[in-house]
Amino acid sequence: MIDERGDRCPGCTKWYWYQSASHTFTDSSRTQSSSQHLHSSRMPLDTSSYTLSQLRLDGRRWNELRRIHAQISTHAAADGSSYLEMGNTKVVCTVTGPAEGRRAGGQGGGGDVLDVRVEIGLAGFSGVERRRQVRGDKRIFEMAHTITESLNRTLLTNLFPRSTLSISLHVLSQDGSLLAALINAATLACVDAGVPMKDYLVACTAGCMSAGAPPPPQVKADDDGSNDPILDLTALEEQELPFLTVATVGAEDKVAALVIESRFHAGRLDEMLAVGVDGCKRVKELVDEVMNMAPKSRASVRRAQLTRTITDAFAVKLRDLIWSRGATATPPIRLALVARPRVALHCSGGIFRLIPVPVGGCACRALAVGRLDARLKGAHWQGFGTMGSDGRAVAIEGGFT
Amino acid sequence: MPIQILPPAPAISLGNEGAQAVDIDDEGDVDMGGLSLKTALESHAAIVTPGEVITDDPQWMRGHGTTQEEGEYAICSTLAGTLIKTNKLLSVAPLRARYRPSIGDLLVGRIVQVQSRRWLVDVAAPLLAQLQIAAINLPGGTLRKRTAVDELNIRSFFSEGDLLVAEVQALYQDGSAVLHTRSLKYGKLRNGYFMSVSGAGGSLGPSGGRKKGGVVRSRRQMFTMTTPGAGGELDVILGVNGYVWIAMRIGDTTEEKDVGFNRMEEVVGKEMYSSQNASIPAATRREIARVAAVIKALVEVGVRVDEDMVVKAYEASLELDMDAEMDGYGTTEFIGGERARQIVEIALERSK
Repeated sequence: MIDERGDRCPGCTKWYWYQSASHTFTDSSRTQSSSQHLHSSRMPLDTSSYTLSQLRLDGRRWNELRRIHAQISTHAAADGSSYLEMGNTKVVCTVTGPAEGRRAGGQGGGGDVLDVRVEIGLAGFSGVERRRQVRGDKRIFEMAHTITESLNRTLLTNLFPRSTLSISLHVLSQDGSLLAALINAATLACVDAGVPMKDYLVACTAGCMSAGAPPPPQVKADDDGSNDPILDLTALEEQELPFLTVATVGAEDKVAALVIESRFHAGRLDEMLAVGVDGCKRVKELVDEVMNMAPKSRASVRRAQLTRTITDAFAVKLRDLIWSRGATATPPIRLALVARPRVALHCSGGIFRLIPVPVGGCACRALAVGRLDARLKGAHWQGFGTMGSDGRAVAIEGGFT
Repeated sequence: MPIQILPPAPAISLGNEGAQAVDIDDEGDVDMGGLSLKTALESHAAIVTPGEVITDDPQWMRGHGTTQEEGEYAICSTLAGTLIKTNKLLSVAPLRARYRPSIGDLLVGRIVQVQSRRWLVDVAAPLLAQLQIAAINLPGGTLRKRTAVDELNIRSFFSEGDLLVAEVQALYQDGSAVLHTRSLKYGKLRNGYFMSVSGAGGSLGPSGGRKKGGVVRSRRQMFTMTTPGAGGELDVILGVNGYVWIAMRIGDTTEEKDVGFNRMEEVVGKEMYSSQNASIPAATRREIARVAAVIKALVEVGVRVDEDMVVKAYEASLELDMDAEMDGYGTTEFIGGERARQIVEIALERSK
């Protein structure tokens, strides 16, 4: 039962699931004043603002995911690749294969199913403090093993005998739910690589606000919800609260992996698992959206962005111009751009010319003629706009004749 | 003072993007009679994603890229891609996947391993392809039997890292390919430039029915391009596996003479397996690089790559350079970004 608050940015593949994900820490004076709070002695986490408005440290409610932003086919040279952000946890994944692996024994060493190999690299700058890469970190190995095993059960490995699928994951930034982010990124990259799978393998974390206490037998009248399990933990929350990572296959209740590394009352497991599985369903929808956005060619998305940039630039210029002429009312101005090489502007009055500035070999020429508006006759203006995401400069020149 | 700004016009669709409707039957049968397919078939542009139920109607059979739980009628997709119907068979062609060999494909490959009687060739498939020593033209007569001496000299024909163009002769049960180069068109590659398009795979789905770019099957894949100036002629080989070879054309006599099959031994000389490159003039190298950049541009936008498109895009790039020179901007060496897109658009317009 997670709120439907997602919103999609038009024109690009970004999903703004939760907009105000920036951290908002309460100031220390309020922290002290709220020490009489019922659970604060049990919970090291500061809950002064949470109990007031039922919000967590970063302003989320208990059942809210952080913003998930994902892209596929980010690396042209890989068979499959993805980039995934869950809040401030950022992960890149590239997949090579299925390809015949180079084995020491030469031919015949491979099994009769696909061999999935996962490699995780933590960037030195990914954490709070800079760290040199540690070889043979047991925790990283365990994560890699978890991903390997759950992918082995999700991918249709029997279709690729004697082949190897190498999945290489790079953590760019860590802010909690790392294993979940890694699993989601690996899934996206595998889909991008065209490896058949039963369903998406998706993961998220769930935590619990009260560590050692058993769940109340029934919901009390004065229950303020502060004992609720919480979804999708950040690094701060992970430090303070017990949590679990759960991965499911698709949107059904098929749990593929469950990792618990902290102590909590066994009675809490049920509700945490339920919240985690619910979160996975939501993650699956988001991941599915990423795939459905993908076939739109990158070029057409870029074109749409470019068109918007130029249109906006013109609108501003035009508004300035019209106001400077002391006009009180203008006919509606229609700005539209036809795709290049014929960039054209349709304006209800005047002639415009887009003059390309030869930066990086841009050579678009455009000329469009519209009807003229008597009041704006004789005006002439010039300006610069930028074109496209690469910031190419275009001189814009216009005149009403 | 209301200024009404209308939303920008939708971007033009590029080429055959969306031109091939998803639900057109492979055999041309369109009438399926009382089909009750779910989401995927109703909207043309939609793709299916892993785990999505395609249909739960028992009349359909599952094909590649789909799965069916035991004892259930529901057919689910296992890939992200477009749905293909062949009579009562449902299959999913992935948007992107590694090349899967099929018999008769023209491939460009690279030798990765030499064994006693065969080579293992990387053809960007899940498994390495094999090339038997018996499946190549042996010097001194094609039709002679291979001997123990040939086996000893196996590295003199192809050694590790050599590039070759070959055809898929047969497939094993596990999907790995067996190649042959028993034609004068096939054999070792030299004097040119190798490139791999669209990642490591770069090929189309089954029967070329995919919308995104890549090398198209069943078109002419080996062709000669003429370049202006001192560039001379170029040989272009578009392997279905996404490997592309662009080379200087050597005016040799082998293809000029109409060689009969039984006179082949006269032309298959030792030099066929030579690894020595000829000296390539700078102008030719430049044109090779231009063709390569143009192909890369086509792939990036997701346009099909075939002879027609490559030639048209190449011409467009030449004209743009000429235009730029006349306008005084000077020629730009770089074919990428804005210019690449422009070239593709011009080429698409002309190929309509």
